[in-house]
Amino acid sequence: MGNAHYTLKSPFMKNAVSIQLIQCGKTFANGAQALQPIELDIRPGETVVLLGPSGCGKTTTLRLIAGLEFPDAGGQVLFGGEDVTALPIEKRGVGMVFQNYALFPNMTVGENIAYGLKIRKMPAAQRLAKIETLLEMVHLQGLGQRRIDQLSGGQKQRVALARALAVEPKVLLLDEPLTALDAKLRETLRADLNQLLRKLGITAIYVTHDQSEAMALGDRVVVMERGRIAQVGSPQDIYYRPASHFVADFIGTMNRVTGRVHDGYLRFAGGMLPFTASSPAPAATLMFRPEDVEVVTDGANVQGILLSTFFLGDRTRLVVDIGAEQPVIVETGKRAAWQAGEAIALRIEEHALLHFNDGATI
Amino acid sequence: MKRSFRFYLQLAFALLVCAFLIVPIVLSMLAGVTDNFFVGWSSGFTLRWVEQVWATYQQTIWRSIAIALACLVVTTAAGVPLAYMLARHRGGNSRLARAFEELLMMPVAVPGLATALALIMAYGQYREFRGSLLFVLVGHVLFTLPFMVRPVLAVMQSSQLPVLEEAAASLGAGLWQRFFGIVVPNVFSGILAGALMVVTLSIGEFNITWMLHTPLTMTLPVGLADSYASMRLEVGSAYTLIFFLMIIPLLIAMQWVTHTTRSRVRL
Repeated sequence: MGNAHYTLKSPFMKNAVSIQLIQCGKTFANGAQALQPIELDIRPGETVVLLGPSGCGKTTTLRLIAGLEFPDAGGQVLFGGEDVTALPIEKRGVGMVFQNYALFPNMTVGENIAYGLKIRKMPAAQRLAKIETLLEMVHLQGLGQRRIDQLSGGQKQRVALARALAVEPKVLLLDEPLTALDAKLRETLRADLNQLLRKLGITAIYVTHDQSEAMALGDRVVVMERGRIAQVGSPQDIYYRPASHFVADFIGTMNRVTGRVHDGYLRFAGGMLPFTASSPAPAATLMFRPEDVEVVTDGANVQGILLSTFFLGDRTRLVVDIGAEQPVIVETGKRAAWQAGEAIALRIEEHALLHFNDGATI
Repeated sequence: MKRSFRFYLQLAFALLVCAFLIVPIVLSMLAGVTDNFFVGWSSGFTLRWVEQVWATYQQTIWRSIAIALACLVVTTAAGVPLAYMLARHRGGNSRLARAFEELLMMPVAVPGLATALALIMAYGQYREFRGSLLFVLVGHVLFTLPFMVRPVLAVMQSSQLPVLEEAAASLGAGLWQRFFGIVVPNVFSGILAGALMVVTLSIGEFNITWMLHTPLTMTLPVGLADSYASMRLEVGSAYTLIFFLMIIPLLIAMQWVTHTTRSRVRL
């Protein structure tokens, strides 16, 4: 990396702007409401990940911020407090990285990177120097003369990233940039991207449907569901303190136990768990993470029968029938000769239990 | 390598079909350099007829080339932006875009004489315009425009042009910069294919031109009809020979371009 990032670091730090979406909804011409009016505050220099299943409105939100779509009447987009709602994308000063790279096939790698600089009429000598710096930043030294079709997928996305950063945008927008890559490349590029975003301190918005990407990259994660924001929070917030049944279910693996509420406990065939929330119906559901379940010899509050095991190397995943509707998944680091059919004692701490009133009895 | 009897049978049939198509053409071209076609080749070969055609009809050849080139300029200048607009309107698949494309094809489907007659009825009273080469050019543009629009539109639809444009826009490029810097270079294969089609069709166009032309705006194919009707067969054949010499390199170029660009369209 050398001092390449050093020269690039300052302009981004200085440029980083906040982004605000105020009552931004989007209804398409065919009447489909892709986005209900949402509010979103993004701090300068922050990396925010928009996460959700396909059709949740995350890409629409990104395109509203980019200026590729415009919000329904009443919606406002602010960059650093300044109203940019009416500005098209070419006037917003955003850098964009697309899922399918969108590199210009009629240009070389270097020409692609310099495109925005050429539009801005930067002199050729300066452009060349900048291309070199950017190529170094994305680890593609010496590939400036290559044609686009001579690059691998990972290299293409690095070029796309360099091209977007070349114009020193106020905001970097990434639309599922790693989705088209194979698993191994995705890992490497994700790590590099993470490092780069922290180093540059640029305000970045990252759209993905992959929760592990969201967890790894986001300072904050915005979970979206059917055109609405389901939760905004740090990756830890989202994982440990999901705000709704949907978020809990969407992020990571979640166990679900349904039973009858009685005397402050949720009772089911395999045992009972503390239930402090008020439930409108006698039946209720509690949720907890596989890693919050402990396999114990005494002090158990749930009894079950081991159905199957999956050895994962560093841990073992157990599928246990506890007499509820669904078996629970337990992850343990214990080394034991697990036998399907054996009785197993589990302990689930009260603080790990989650309860939602929204559609919890599915 | 041993080939079956069937192979030779099929080869013979293919050659027979080829001969059926090619022999008349070769015969016609040979007639153009034969001293007296009715006597036969024994009368000897001569370039006299070619020279005579060159002397009499040279103007029609230059005129045809000029019209073809002018036609190319007009169809490119009008057709490429038109295809772009159609493609931008919901990817060129909207009802409006399709209706427009159908409309554009009309002059190809309608007999050329009818198109020409309509043009004369509408604009015939403007004497200057009616008598100028421009009038013939209008007819040619009407006829060839769809052959420019269609391949360009097809390339626009098959490439990821919309997202390339979004990328260019995000980098600050306005509509004009995007059109000339991104759109045109990336649909160049379509433009090239269309251009060759337009030039070839324009050079060979007879139906519309025959109605529209005046003695002063006669083109090559019309001159050909004229020479066959009023002169020796050898003269007409010599004329055909010259036409072939012009058109065959164009056809070969067209084949070559479509072949080389087909592999590049996927980019």
